[in-house]
Amino acid sequence: MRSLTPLSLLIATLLLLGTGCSGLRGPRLTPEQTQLNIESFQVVWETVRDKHYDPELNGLDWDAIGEEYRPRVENAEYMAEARTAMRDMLKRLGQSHFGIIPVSAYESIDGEDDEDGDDPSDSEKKDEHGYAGLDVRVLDGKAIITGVEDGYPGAENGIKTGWEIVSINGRKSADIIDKVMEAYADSTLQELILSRATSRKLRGDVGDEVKLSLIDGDGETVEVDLVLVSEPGERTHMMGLPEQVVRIQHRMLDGNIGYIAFNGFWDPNYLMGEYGKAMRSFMDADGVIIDIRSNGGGIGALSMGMAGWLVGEKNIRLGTMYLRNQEMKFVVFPRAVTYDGPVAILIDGLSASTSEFFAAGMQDLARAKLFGTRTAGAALPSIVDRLPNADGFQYVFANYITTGGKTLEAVGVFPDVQVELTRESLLDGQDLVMQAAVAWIQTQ
Amino acid sequence: MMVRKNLNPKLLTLPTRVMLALMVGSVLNTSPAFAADLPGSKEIIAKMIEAVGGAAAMRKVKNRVVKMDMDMDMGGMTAKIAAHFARPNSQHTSIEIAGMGTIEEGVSGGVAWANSMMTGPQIKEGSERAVALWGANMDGLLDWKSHFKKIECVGKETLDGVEYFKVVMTRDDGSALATYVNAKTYLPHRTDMKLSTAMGEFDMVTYSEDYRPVDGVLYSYKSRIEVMGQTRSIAITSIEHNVDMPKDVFNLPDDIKELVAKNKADKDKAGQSKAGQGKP
Repeated sequence: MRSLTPLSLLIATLLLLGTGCSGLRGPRLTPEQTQLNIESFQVVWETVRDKHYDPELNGLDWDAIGEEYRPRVENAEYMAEARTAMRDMLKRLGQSHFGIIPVSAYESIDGEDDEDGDDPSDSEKKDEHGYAGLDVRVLDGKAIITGVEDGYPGAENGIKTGWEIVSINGRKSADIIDKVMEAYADSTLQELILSRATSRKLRGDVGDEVKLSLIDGDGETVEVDLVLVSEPGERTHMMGLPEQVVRIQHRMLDGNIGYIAFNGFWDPNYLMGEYGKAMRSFMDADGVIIDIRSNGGGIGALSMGMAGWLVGEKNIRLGTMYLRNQEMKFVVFPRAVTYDGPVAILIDGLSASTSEFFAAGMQDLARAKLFGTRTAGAALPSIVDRLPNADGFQYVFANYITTGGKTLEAVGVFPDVQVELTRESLLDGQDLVMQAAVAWIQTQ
Repeated sequence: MMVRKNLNPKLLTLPTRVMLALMVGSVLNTSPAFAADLPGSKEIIAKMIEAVGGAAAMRKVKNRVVKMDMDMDMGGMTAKIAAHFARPNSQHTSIEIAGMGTIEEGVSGGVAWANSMMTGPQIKEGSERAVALWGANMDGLLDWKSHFKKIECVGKETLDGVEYFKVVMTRDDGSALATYVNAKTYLPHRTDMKLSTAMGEFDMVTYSEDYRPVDGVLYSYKSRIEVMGQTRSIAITSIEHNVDMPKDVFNLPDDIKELVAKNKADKDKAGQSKAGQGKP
């Protein structure tokens, strides 16, 4: 199991909710399991009552709702019935980031789907970060290679950006895409889930073989067998979460433009150290590009620390997190030396959580111009607890509003300059989003 | 299967900073002072000093090194803490949180600062600075008048069947804290305060337990801090007095030195600008 971030748990939850989970009923519950489900129901009900940031729960009669759903859990004959009862109760809140997550869902999102018939316990072996060096997005309903990293299996096997993935290990990409597109037709999470659902199939243990069927730029079918290698980056553990792999790259582009990209807001000692080095080296740059496309977020406070290199004014905040009876300002602590030139932030539908805090805050402060596509809109602070019956329970306990008064949840951050990726440009080896940012900086 | 908790990490930093401030201000410094201007206050102060070991024993402590383990009820998060104090009012605390990075805080030469790998360096101001200075003063209990303008013993309260004096301590800026002192032992049991930080105001309650002597001075070896609906438990693993401390332990980090220099330059610039306004 890998990269089981809170966001991926959310996605797992939503995916399961959206698709109605599987139709498998499983074995009948034992009396002990029923008792654990009843205890779990009580934990869920009490947690929402006590922890939700809105003590009024938007006017719901939570006591009555609890009484309505409790018998369904008590009388459930199968696990799926008990979970559905708890989910149905949570749906009454009308908010995302609430969900009951079966143990198998943790593996579903991070490894193979239940539908593949895998034994969930197999996932325990999937701790290695097998890596193909490929980035995949769904463009116009097709899984398209959007990134190929030099020196890794994809590049070594001649795969190019813009190629279409027809199948992975015999499973057709179209099947996955159709299912997700239908379930998330109206969701800001669609792009993120589409990408995750396809790119997860490229994951596995180091040494695992992945069979790809692709269509190249000439429309020819290409069959490739990749052997996954160890994912590059710094490994970090925190709070019982699985290992996270953090990568940050920075360099000076032609035209004296600083460029920095990182895949998550984790491992502060490493990430912020490298980010700081980069920003110090960019002080005389004509512009800086911060690339947080595909960045799923992480530790929220890092958004404040990063902004501190770009905002010289004191008493400025990116936004505010509202808890029950308390609020926490996401304040920027300016560095002694700050970069005051033009800043472009690259975003897309995979930019989520802390990425959205950072991008929205910088946009609200008019300190950066955003390029790309709308972000994931997955920005409600939430917690995942494990229940007595071992299922996961994700719940919201705070709201987040940007300094400009915008809600990000289910809305996302809109770019100032909308730039879509296209297969044609990718086949030409172009990054249109990057190009737009560079062009803007050159006019400043 | 073991039940565990995972937490969205975006929530962690503030409680951690709050915890830091509280820890410095309330846990390490068992120093509530009492209403000298009300009947009984002087007596309570005297008994309080006596209860924790007496002024003579306290003054023998020239410096102090405290090591602690902290557990947070969030995803099993833990931290290792090392705090250094030296007379009269130097302090440095380092917190290593697994996977979350390092947070440092200190007071040196009157500068109260924090430096987090997450949020960056900061010079503390206002009541946040006042709390830090109070925490750094090794004679905080004896020297309470340097930190509080008003101290009142407002009465007695019973908590879990035990009687406590409730003492309210007010700073010059109006910020206050309330300490519940055991009416028999004169040891502090609970402190309520509203901590003002750049990130907001936070209500916190600290419980101090398990008092043990070190060189004749009592310290609370177990503390529990409740803030933002979450609980941190701190257990002291060692306390040492009068050790050979590295000379640079209280030096300001480079990032803080830069900020101090910038603040001074900004003030000088503002002063010159103001002075220039009156000239033709």
